Amino acid sequence: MQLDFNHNGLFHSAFTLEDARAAGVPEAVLAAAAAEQAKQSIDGAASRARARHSTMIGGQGSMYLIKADEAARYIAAGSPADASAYALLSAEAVALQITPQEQAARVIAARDGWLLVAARIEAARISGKAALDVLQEVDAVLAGRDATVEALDAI
Amino acid sequence: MGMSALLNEASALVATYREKNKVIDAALAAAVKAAPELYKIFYVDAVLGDDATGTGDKTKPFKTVSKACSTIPYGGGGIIYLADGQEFVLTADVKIAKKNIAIYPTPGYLVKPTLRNICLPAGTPGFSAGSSNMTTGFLVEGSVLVLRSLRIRTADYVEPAAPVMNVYTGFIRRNDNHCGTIHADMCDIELGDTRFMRNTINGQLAIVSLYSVKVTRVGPVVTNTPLFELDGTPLVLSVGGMTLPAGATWLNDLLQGVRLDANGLPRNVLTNIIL
Repeated sequence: MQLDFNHNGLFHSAFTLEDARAAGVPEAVLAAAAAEQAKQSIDGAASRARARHSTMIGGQGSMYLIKADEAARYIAAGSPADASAYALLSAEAVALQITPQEQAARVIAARDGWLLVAARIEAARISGKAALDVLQEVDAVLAGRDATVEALDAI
Repeated sequence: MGMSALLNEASALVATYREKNKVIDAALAAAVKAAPELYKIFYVDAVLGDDATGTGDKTKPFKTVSKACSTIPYGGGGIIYLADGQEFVLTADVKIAKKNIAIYPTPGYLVKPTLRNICLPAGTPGFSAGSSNMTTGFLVEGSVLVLRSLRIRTADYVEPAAPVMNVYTGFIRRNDNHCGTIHADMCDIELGDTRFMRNTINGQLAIVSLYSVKVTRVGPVVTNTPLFELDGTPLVLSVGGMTLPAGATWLNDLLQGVRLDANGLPRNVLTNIIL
């Protein structure tokens, strides 16, 4: 592990723990630097977790939102047989050879399922990162990081 | 031909072979002896040394780093030991082509020797017309240069108010060719007005590793002097245990000329540091 940190008015870059400790850098300074890196690892694990549950291609996030919004409006409108006013919904129903009603139900179910997963990911990510801020020792930071990453990898 | 004649013929042939073999062996021995020894150890003493009469031996050191570098044969390498605590000024460019050179303090040193380059005024032969403050430095071409336990002081402007600054500044520069590998450890790099390394134009790759190096900025004119100037040229940079000026950052500060793609990722620098 290499750390970047400020100490004694200087910027230290790419210090190994061994070198930093040998140079007398306080453990709390190193713990804070390690926490910064650990947060990036946690964000990376969260990103991987999201990718396992949704298609991560350019623009797909907004596409999901548009689809969910359109499906919700369609259902709220009474699920009319003529779904031509709902471009994505009707196009996908034709493509999948199912009714617009069925497609709208699938979209809403997928949205609800994704919300549950997203909430678990976000809770683990936010709480895992916040927990690092109070730790004063590098080993504790690394243990906290590993636990959060492991939890995210299990989602 | 009778048996006796055949024997005589064979004996003559053997004698001729043996004679030719001796000639070839002698020529080979002479060639081996004449070939330069490729690995050298030189001592440099700025006070007691002499480039004209010195041999680079410990008892007859050279006076300049330039002399020691140039005496290491093309394709060869070696160690150059600098005298304890002395200052060695690069008064002209030191070209290192196809060599593997390590510059260390003399074993048992007490004070790190200083290696310093200088700026030259406008009008110096070889300058672009009208520009000023070109520096001397190591011109590295397909070589390895190792700097250990040295104080490296980059040049201050000699003409601070010059209207046009020469772009060829740098303690280390590539020499219109593949640069090579630069390594520095346990060195103190004091950045004056000019950068430590300039590796720009034509895409020459440089590989640089820095370990346990302390960098300070001492100006006096330029107070944000970069460590590297790249202008998009590729650099492989490995660092560890760097102590840097307060408030310094790598990207666009110590490391200038980094080319970023549309996602903000560096495209010309491969490094272990987070830019």
